[in-house]
Amino acid sequence: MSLPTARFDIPWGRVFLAAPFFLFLAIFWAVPLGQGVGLSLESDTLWGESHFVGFKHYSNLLQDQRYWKAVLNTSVFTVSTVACVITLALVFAHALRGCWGKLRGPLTFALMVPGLCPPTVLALLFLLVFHGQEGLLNRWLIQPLGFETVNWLADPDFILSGIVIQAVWRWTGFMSFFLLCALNARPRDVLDAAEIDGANAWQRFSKITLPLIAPTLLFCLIYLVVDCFAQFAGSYVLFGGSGGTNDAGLLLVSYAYQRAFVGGGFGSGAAVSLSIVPWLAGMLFLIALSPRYFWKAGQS
Amino acid sequence: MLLVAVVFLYPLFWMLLGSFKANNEIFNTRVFWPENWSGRYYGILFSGEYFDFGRSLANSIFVSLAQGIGATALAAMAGFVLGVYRFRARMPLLGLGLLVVLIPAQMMALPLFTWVNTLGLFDNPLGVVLPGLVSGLGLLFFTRVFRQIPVELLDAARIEGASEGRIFLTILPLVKPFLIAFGFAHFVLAWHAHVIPLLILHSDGVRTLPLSLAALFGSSLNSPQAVLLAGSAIGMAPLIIVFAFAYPRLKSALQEFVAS
Repeated sequence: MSLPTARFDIPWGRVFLAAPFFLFLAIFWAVPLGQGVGLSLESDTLWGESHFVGFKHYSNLLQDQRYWKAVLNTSVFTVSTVACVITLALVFAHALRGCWGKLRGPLTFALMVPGLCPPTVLALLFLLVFHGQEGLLNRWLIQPLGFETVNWLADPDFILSGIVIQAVWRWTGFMSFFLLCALNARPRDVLDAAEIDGANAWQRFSKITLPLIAPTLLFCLIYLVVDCFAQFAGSYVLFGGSGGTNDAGLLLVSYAYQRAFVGGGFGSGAAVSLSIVPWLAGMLFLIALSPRYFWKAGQS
Repeated sequence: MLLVAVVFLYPLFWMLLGSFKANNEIFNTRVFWPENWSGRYYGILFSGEYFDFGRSLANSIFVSLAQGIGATALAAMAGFVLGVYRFRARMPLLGLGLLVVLIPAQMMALPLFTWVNTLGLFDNPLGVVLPGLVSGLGLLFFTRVFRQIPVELLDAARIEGASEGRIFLTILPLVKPFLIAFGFAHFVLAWHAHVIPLLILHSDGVRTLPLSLAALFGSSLNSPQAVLLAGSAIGMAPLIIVFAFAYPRLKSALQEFVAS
């Protein structure tokens, strides 16, 4: 009997189990990514011969006013959406825990239903919510409070808030659900001990609850940020792929779509798409670094 | 909380009512209950006057179901290997999974479109399904799920001489709630996908429901909008029903996952 040399013994069973995933990853993720990088270095020609232009598209972007507008819009959209959703979700999750047991399930469920609504339907619904003078928002909130009616979809000052409201409506329920599960999973005895030791509600929340739910919170943050950056369908239906009045609703993905399919510039479109990656990575890096306990807890 | 729930559900309820209204009633938000309930918009929807509704619905179901099941299978298999065993390529592979999360397919829609074209899958549902089988989130999720499996169980199976694939299949029932939770989440995402199907699925026969509805929406405001609302309502119904059944499972799976 020959002793197998463990170092070179390939565990074929494991390889076969893991291979399909990474095979698909290579074919349908890595190859397009590589091609995208290649495409972004070539001139804007539809199907004919294109030639290598190096980083010209990228340097053009740096001087492109509309591009910076899209970057700014996407950042504002992402930050405000994430801030609203996470705050609301935390409040809702606590409120749901406090409410009567039999009602809790149906209520959580009701909050989550908007998340099942396809983005296209969502945009249509909100066309009516934001609709001119008679929209729901104007009629129930703005007028009773004594403000002038806002033309949500045409006034450049309000377009972005319109998309934010839409995203908040969509995601808050799901995030509340995640946080509710995280709250339920907290060990009871730790909380009880803190209460007996005389910690007040805020101390219990900031010193015990927050670190305990930090991994879930981190997941929610990352998920939201990635989703906001990739946001397309909502604004596509609302503005037909354009940026709305004065480009006030122009987001990075819709700008890339415009460059490539409306403007016919595949190369520069690909450059816009790829330029999203560093912005996104930067944003996630900030999230992971800024509050120290997020990072520590996320490691565990 | 009750009030919040009402606010959240209001637009959806309104959509359902809207599917019975004539155009002028829909765009007049002062009308809440339809003047005369008219089911004819559902009739128009199914008659295929604007687009083949049944076909689009079937396409959506096929595309999303295939993605949900396929992605869960692939991610669970790979996650099993990465979660249970320690080997040198493990961290790089997990890092790769994280990269996939960070660079979602929507961002590479354009090169993906040309690549799918090259593969000859343009206008073919497979062109949407196959790229949708890769889920970085799934890999990370299942890696963590399988890390919780007690080692003794695996050792026992190995001593009995079970193959790697056998062990995986034996363990699978233990993680069933997680499989359902992830499969459902991926199904929903696939159902909602818009950019990539928009680029790849071109002819009417292969379009998914969101695409057909968006096209109808864009076509003209003269067509009865109730048809669109009716289509949306029916398009959401399967999701809500499946979700209602999966909800308790989802909740316990998630709580267990968070606590681990």
